[in-house]
Amino acid sequence: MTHRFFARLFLRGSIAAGIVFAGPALAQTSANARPNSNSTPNLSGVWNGAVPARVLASGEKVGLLLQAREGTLVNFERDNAIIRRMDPNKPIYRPELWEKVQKLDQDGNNEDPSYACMPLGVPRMGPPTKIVQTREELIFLYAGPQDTYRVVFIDGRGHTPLKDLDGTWRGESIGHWEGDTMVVDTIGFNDTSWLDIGGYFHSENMRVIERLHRTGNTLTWQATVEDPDVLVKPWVMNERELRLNPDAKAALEETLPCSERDLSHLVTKEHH
Amino acid sequence: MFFGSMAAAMIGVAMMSVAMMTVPLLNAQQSDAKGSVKSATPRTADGHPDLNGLWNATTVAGPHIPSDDFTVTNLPSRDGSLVNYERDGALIRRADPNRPLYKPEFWEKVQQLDQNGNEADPSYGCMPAGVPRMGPPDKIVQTAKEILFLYVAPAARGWGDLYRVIPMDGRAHTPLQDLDGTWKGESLGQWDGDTLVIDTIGFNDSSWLDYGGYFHSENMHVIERVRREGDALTWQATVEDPDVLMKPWVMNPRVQRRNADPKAWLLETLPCVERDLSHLVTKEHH
Repeated sequence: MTHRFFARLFLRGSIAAGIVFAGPALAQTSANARPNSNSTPNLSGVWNGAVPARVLASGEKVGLLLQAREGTLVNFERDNAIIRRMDPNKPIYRPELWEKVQKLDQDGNNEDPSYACMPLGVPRMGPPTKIVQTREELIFLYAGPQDTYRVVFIDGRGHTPLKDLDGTWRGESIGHWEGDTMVVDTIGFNDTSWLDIGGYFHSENMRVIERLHRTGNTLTWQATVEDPDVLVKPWVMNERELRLNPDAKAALEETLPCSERDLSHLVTKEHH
Repeated sequence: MFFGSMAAAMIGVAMMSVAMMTVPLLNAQQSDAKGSVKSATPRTADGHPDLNGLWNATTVAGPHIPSDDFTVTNLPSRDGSLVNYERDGALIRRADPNRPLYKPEFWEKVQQLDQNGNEADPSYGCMPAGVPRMGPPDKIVQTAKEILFLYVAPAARGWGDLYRVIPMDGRAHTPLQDLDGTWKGESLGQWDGDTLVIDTIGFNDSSWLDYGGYFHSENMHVIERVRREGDALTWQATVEDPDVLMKPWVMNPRVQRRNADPKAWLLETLPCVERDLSHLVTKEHH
């Protein structure tokens, strides 16, 4: 396989992250770090510390992200998709859309936009790899599966009226503190992105609420998808936990650009 | 080409920039209470020039402050209209005498890449532009320890809304042989007086420096100098690559204006989709 092999590997991994990880504790400070001059938590840092390596019998190091039946890389792609599909926490679509979801899912290799190198979008892109926090904004940097950024305004501004926003993959994100939790409210989406594999489409009226909470050197990210046009009720996505990378010089690795080369070679409709 | 046509891309940028453009020009002058037309350069708490902000009010080639007429400045063409800007823009850029000077043994390679530019230019296959082709950033976030460059990706800057993280903590480069070659490389920043100097190594050899078949080696070393004066940001890059170049290529400086609207934001770029290549009937490369 190609670049996309690794892109997908990382994608699947990061989606499973919060549930799967039980890595060794890193050096921790007990109190939440706070910026010197105000009382809000400091979310700045590289939050990729939650990828502990596991050493296989062969001596090969793999992340715990790559779950497979015998702990090797051989079947991880298929097994990981099965594990994810077993998760009972799924978005509940309105009955008239069940058939559409099923059709999209069954033709996922052609329909899933992320398989054609399109962006993942919010919330599928998950928690950021690095956060830089200033008084006015949070910068979310994502290192893989697609390198990009989000700018979350925390300067108290309101949303642009939805009708004035061009629908985008990442939408317009505005954040505020609720106690020690950063709540990021995003609207202004296109209807192209998916929420996950499984044909989970959404409408342009989707609203995503992400909650980020730092406890010591652990960051919890959780997203809720509100989309009454297509969902019976908001989808409360599984929490994910990330560990702070304690290396002050940790750098984000550049991801290989996406290049679609596999689709024409697929002989089944199995969608990882 | 990009998202169906480069025209669509550039018009998208045009709309974004036009909307933001009138405000900063007014504010930059009004905010200067001293009576001078040129604003003072704000500084951060540690005394360095404050580079924070959106620097997308204009994007032009050359060390001059551009015309306030967006079309003339950004889409130069024979009659000031959009009709021929794509072809004319390419001609104007090709007329620029400032080019990288390759070693004689590479002249033929450069020429061949150039003549087959529609297929050989990586940015035409939705690959990233890389450093230095991605140019100056659209937004800068500056902290004491690092500087973030955020890019939106119009036209020839390749795929994706990308970022660069530039540590300012005085660390040394990773030895070149330990770096995987990448599009953006490993960038380190330091202050030289009031100028931010960014030193980057660790490249792949896939990116180009510009149209024209301007390839480079994995041993390329790029030095960018970024300087704020008032509400103008000057970016200038120098490419050192003794494997392929006779001498360092000192690229033309580019001046960007600060967007004075504190609520201005970066418009998301449409993802790159290659759809045009199979329809091109000539080798003309914009």
